[in-house]
Amino acid sequence: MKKKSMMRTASGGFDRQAWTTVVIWLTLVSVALIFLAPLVYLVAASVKTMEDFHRYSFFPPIDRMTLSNFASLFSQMDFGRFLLNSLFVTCTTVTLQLLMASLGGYALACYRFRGQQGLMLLLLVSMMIPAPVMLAPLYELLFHLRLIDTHAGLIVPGLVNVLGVFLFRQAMLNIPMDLVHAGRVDGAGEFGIYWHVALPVVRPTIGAFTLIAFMGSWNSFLWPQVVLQSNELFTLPIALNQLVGLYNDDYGALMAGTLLAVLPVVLLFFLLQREFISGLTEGAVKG
Amino acid sequence: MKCFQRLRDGLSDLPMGPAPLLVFVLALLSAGLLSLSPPERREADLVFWTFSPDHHNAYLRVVPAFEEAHGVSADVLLVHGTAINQRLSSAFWAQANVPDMVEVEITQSGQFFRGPIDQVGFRDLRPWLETSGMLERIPANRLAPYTHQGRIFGIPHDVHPMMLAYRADLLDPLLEQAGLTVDDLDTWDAYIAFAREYVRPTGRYMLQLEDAAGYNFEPFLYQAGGDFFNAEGEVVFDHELTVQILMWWLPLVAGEDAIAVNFGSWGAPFFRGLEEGDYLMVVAPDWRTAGIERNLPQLSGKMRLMPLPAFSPGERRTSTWGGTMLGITTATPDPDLAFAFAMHLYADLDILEEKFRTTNILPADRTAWGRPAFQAERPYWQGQRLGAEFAALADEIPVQVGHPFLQLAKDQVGNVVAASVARWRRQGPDGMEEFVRQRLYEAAEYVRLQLRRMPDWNAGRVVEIQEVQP
Amino acid sequence: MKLNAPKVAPYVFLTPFAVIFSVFIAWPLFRSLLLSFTITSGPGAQVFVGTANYRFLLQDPDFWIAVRNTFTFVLFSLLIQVPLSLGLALFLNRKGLWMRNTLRFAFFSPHLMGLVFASILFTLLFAPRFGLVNEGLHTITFGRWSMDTRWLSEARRVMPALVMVNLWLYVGYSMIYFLAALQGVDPQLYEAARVDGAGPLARFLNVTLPGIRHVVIFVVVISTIGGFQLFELPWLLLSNTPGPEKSGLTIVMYLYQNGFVSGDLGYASAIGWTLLFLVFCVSALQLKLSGALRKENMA
Repeated sequence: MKKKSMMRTASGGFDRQAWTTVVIWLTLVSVALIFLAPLVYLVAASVKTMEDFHRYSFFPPIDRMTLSNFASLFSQMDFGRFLLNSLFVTCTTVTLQLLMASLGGYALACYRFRGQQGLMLLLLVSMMIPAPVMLAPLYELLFHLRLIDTHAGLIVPGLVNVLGVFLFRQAMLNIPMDLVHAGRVDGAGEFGIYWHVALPVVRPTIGAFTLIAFMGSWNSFLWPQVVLQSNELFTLPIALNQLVGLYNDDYGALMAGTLLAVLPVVLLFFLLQREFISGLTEGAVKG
Repeated sequence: MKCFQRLRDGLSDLPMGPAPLLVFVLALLSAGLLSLSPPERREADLVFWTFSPDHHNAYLRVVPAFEEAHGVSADVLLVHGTAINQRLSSAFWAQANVPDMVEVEITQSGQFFRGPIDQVGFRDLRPWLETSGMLERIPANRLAPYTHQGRIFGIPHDVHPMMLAYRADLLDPLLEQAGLTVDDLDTWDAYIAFAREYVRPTGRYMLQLEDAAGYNFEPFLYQAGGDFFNAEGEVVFDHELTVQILMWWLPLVAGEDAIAVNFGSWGAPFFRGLEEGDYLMVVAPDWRTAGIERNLPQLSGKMRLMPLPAFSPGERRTSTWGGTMLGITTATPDPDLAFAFAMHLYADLDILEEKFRTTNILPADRTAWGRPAFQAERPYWQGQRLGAEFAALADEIPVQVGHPFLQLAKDQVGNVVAASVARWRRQGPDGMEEFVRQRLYEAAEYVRLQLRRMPDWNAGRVVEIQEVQP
Repeated sequence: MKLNAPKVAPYVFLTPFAVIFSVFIAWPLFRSLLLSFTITSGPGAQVFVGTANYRFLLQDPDFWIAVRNTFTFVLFSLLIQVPLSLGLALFLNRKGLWMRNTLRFAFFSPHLMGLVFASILFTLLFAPRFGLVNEGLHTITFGRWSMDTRWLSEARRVMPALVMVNLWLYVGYSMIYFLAALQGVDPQLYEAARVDGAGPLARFLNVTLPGIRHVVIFVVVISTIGGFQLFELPWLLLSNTPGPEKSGLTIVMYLYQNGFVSGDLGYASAIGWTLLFLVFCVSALQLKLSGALRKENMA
């Protein structure tokens, strides 16, 4: 019995293996096409005229394509301003989050101090808090801090990223303590060790967290909707959602706006691709 | 591409990777650009929020005249419809950033009248409405939704009488075939009979009605004299009348004899159905006619309007759907100025006329209805005088009682409607009436339960929040 | 005392985080706990009602609808998402697969869109008559699937629609985790299993699954916590309503409706705290069942 199966493997093994790979590959490609279809639709929709919108499922013939949706986007609304607002709020938030989360993660990973376990538990629990619970009291608080209808009102309450602290903590657990001690022997300050020793080690995590934090802030909707009141301060999600109502039937412009809004995230992803995957999983795999 | 790769490699050589630096630089860059063109922030004397882009556009044009005449500044802000109520709640609650004036949708206005009557965020406008004579100029049935415990918290922006907009090019031949005119479709019985006998065999439907929510059922309930609450604020939507109207309405949209169909009540699916003649008619409050004109210019000259058929001969031939009020908040330091601004927007006849031309919305101030724009023949509607048609029905529109729990009540009834339609399609009409009665009763009981839960606002421990200094 | 001393440093490093955390998370949270024992309305009206909100919650049919919907969503999302993304990861992990990186990006790319923009996109994709979803189903069923199918206005289709968008957004994301975990499994273990005569299934159960257990748990817990906070997706897709027959009403949406549509921030806070409790229980249960809380796995 055993011999027979061995033989089959010896003679037809390669073929079967190859066939399996082909079947798997075809399966993957068809699933991938399903996943990509909405994105292709989005791109196609942004270059279709209003009358072609429902005529072609995806792209119209090349001579019927138009960039007028993008033009109308910038003429009908202050799209450039919204883009700038989003960039400012998101990049500021991410920069500060990076600093705070990595410092916090470093403190939790490379030191032993009183209250550490309690703090970890508190952070874990706080990750489960549904944000809307705090919507009303936060509004009240920001009013007293005079931060309603300001970008600071978006940035400051969003500075805490508990997931980030966890990611950095997990990654920094891998830092050999010898390195840290060596740094101290060399006379480097604690902050110097964090900056020159710890951060370079967790570079993939920095990349991954940057993307995660960027996406979180870039896509945030509920809170900006509550805080911002002046049009000139709107971020892209709020502005585009407004477009849904405003130009109810101008789907082309809406899709063009959505496409442009997603583009920065995609660019950042390509830039960070290398770090992203290893960094994202570092915490989870080891955790 | 190569350049991009070089940049990527270069950045990757940084000790902490390219990400933080890039993001940091972008933060600085965008901050710099933003500081070059700081948003215009001014403390206007009057701040006015509206959720309707159409209103907003119209108001922006007429604000300068008011500012000049009164020597003040006024800011009209467009706040998105989904955000305005939430933002207003937050503002009232924290006593922060409360606008001087705000427009609120008719179903949602009630929630702002909750709580102790003296602490409602809006002013009682009765004194101003009386002295200005506006009380006589607004149809009384239109003040009801904005009146709570005898106080008028809002000035109606509109009347929104409802008619039926139809494809005359498709309907008229069928009417001719039946030897009828639209005037013969003056009762629902005649209307439905005609639809079943002459329209359905063509494969088309007579009407488009939303069947997954309540908002296309409500107008019929109102037309028949039903309501969600009575004037005393008691829940009445489980009364026998609602059961009967729903039982009458259901076979219009469900079952083999249905005369109405639905591919969606908004946007492209809605307009496409009308364009292709899948349905000949749509319920058309004044505001919807503008949308039809804008989205289906190719139907110009093919569309007409007719009043709703009556439930019995001689009875009311209209209903209503939607509405907006303007409220003046207690936070405004100068209510006289705010009221003057409201009058500028709502009672200046030139402005109302101009606004009607673009929105087709009949203003609540009846003195405007005689003006030329309202009498103009509209080619899109085969020369019908749109303003006059709607104005003729304005005083007939049914009263809707406003209530803090109106949204909740409408949601509950909407669920009963959707569930009943689904059940009818699944199991047919057997036992339907009992089902409808039971579900309406449960829905009403739920609203009553919620009402009972509310504390007596004037007893109990009420925390006073101090007035905020402006 | 030197700020730079190893004893003091962790506190210094944690200070900015702790300050912001206390002011913008802990304090509002505490406020909302206080609020949950009141009924509020309009400007400044606030009545202390003790535990009445919580007692009402237990008998509030709408709340239970929201709980049922949320649990359904979480359950179905997990049941499909985890096997699907794990399957994709296993397939992608095969040696010598052509275009592996492209495929990986294809699966992951929807995630880059984010919830809000995806919702805006899918309002068009789900449209009856011309929506891409109907068109796709219409094509692959050879016309049996009706183009007029109304995903977002038929009660029984709303939940599948939500799950679908959610899968589209997150399958690739969890796949990345699984893929990385798979690459971390020691290849020698497979060899050993092969030598022992273990088939593919046995190898998967005895080598792969134990090897990536931590990641599976991580993905399940994160997805559960995220799923319980479902709000924006149905709220935007269903144009700011709970959908027909409340089929899209989730706990957070019910919270939002009560707080910011009805103006009862007290009841909303009570819902929030109940949700917090539910999420906490479910996650703790998941961790407990999976043994992640055992001593040897901590830290």
